[in-house]
Amino acid sequence: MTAYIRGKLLSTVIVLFGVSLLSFMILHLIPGDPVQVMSGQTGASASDMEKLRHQLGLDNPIYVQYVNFITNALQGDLGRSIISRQPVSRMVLDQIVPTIKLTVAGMGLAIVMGVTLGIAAAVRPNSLLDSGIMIVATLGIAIPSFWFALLLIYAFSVHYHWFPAAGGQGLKPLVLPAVTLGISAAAVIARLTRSSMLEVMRQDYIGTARAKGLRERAVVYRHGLKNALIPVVTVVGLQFGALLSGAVIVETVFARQGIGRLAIDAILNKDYPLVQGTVLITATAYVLTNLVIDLLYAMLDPRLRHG
Amino acid sequence: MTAGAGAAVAFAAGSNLALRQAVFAQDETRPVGGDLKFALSNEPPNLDPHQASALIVATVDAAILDTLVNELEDGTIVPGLATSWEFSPDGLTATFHLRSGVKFHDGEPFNAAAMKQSFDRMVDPATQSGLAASLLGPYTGSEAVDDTTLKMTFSKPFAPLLHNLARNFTSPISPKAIAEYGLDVATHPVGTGPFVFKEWIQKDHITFERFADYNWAPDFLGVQGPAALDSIIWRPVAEEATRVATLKNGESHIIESVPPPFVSQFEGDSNYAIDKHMNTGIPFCFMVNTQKAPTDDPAVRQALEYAIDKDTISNTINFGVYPPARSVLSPVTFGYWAGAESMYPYDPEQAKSILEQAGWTVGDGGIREKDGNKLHIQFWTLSDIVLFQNIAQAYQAQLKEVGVDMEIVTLARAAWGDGVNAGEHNLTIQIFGLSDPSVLSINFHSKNIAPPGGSGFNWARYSDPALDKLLDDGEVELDDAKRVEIYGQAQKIILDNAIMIPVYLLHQVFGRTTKLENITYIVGGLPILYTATLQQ
Repeated sequence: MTAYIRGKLLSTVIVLFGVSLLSFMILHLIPGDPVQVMSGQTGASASDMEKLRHQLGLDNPIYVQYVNFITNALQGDLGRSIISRQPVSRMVLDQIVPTIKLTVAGMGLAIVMGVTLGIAAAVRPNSLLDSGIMIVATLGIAIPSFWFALLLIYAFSVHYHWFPAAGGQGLKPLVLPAVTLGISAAAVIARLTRSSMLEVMRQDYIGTARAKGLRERAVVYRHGLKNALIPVVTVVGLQFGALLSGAVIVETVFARQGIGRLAIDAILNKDYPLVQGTVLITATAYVLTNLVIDLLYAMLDPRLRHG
Repeated sequence: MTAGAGAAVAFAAGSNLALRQAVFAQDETRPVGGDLKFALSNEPPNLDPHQASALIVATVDAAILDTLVNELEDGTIVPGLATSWEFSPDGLTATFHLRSGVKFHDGEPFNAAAMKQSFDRMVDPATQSGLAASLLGPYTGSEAVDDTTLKMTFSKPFAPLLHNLARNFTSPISPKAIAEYGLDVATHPVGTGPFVFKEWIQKDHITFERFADYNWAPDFLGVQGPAALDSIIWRPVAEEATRVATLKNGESHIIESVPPPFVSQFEGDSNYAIDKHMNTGIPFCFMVNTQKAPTDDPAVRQALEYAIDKDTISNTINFGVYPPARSVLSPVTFGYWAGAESMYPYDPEQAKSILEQAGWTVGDGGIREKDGNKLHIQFWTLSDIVLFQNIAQAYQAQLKEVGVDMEIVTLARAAWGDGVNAGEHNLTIQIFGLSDPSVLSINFHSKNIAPPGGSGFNWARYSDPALDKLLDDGEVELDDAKRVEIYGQAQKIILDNAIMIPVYLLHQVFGRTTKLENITYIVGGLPILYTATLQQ
């Protein structure tokens, strides 16, 4: 077990190092001179630009700049936004909480809907119910979230004034965005749960459990589902990443606070320190989530604990 | 009820009455109160007028700032915080006489010293001003002669001064706020306007509240004293369909930037009103590169002017919301030359005839040729703005009719900017909303042709000493009538040489519930919410 955990932690550190290097490179990979881009149309003179260059440390050799960047980042200092002058770390952390709320709500809905529908389809394979659920699941994957969001807004916000269309704090404004976000993940989870369950239910140990005289419900849930969920847990982890980026679209359409909108506005405003900080923090969150998922495996799958 | 509470209730009732009387001495039936919900097309990046350059900042900050002077929609300059002004005979000094009794939201008095501090802050490189510094032009400094007299000095006469001082990028900010917050005024703006900044929850909303002591509204607004509205809540809703939805379901009382396809649904509904106001400056147009073949041929450029069907573009692509543009400036801009209006009617036969006479004869595929070269031009546009691409496609079809082959090159901003500055285009898009005709210098003076590797807005790459002289003279001529004459000649030269093709007149389009009334719109379609009333 510890070898497994040690391995996972080591690879996490390596990935985080790569992520920090990549987000640092943003400022240096953009076309043109970042100082000229930042000075833009303000009519800054050449000496003003030199001062800005020095202020940002852009006149140091690149490895020195990287070391400074990492040192500051580890202390929570990601610089200041060019446009609003606020500390980047505070701006990002303020926006990450709403995104997490949205992603968790979306993921929660997706798991509940997906697993339930997947099991329902699996215990009556090839029935009308099974076909119906799989058709809905296919639609859920195919429908673009952008379009679906607008559909929900016009139906439940403009036609029926049940939910707000834009922004808001609290539970009611969270419903339509969470449904939009969760629908495609729910569809994926439903299909995967169904096929995984069918696979597991064919195994010998299921037959043994039935032969032992266990009730069908115990067979399905205690012996079948727990094993069927292993690949589903993988997908949930991957879907979490997809949800984080899908949150960008949902946040923009519903005018919600969040990392997605922060990143987009920062990119459009050419606010490079803010873009860097957003990329670094978001990527780190994704990497750490996957670490948690990997550790969850060890709990779910005894084979990994002793392998 | 204790004596204290009784007194408190009486005081509250009394001050409510006093408030009503203060607000509407003229008309007691106008409603007082209400929290206005305003949906914006994007969040202002920064609320410090001295640092910002985005128009959305001016729209939002108009409620918390005052300007020295104001510009009406017809271009007339009227008093604001300055009651009168005069220029020295050599034009190098402008003296402003300021209102007394004005204070900032934090209690600091507004006076000449405070205004001087704000002007100096605008031009200080540490502020990294977006627009304010260039609006002050050749400003060299100012002197607070006494509390109500401010003398501004310039290195040469600066004719755009008054129009520029009407823009709230040049508004005064409280000295106390500058000392306490420095550049963080961006999130803590303190002005002298009818509303006070209360809070900004990033990406969610900005709240302003009524400034109870406000008593120095400019005369042209027709009301005095505190504003009618209790507060304004600004919410950024970038997605167009969602923004429109918030107006339809009552979440917003007013929305900014109603997209053209949605305008008609509100115009037909008596519960809503559409407020449309023309932008100033250079309208949406195509800049024609005079240094690249075949648009270096004046005949080709003339033909391009006759070949464009602006009415179709306005009626179909812009849903009839933005009418055609026919001149170098928009008609509400000071210095607009009306003579342009008859110059280039849509006339494809004329276009064909001009090209034919210049030796461009129809070859295969219906495309004209001359000396073995096809009449092929490149139109450069942005990949993130679908509207521009649609317009390009419409024009491409119109040009095919007259035998011109137009290739549309679509790029992301950085690459597009690099290419346009390097002059790799034949046509590209431009729009420039400044209210002073000196905007023509930015786009047509030869000094603004981008040097290799640099940038500059003269994308027509047109260099004409006669035009340059007119544009330079226009900036130092302080007599309005003479300025109009000078810029009229400049516009004629620009159009005679067909170096820009006007396409449509952008308007600020607001949609609101009819419960919201009495908004005053000033130049460029900026809404003044001070006079607004909301029925509840």
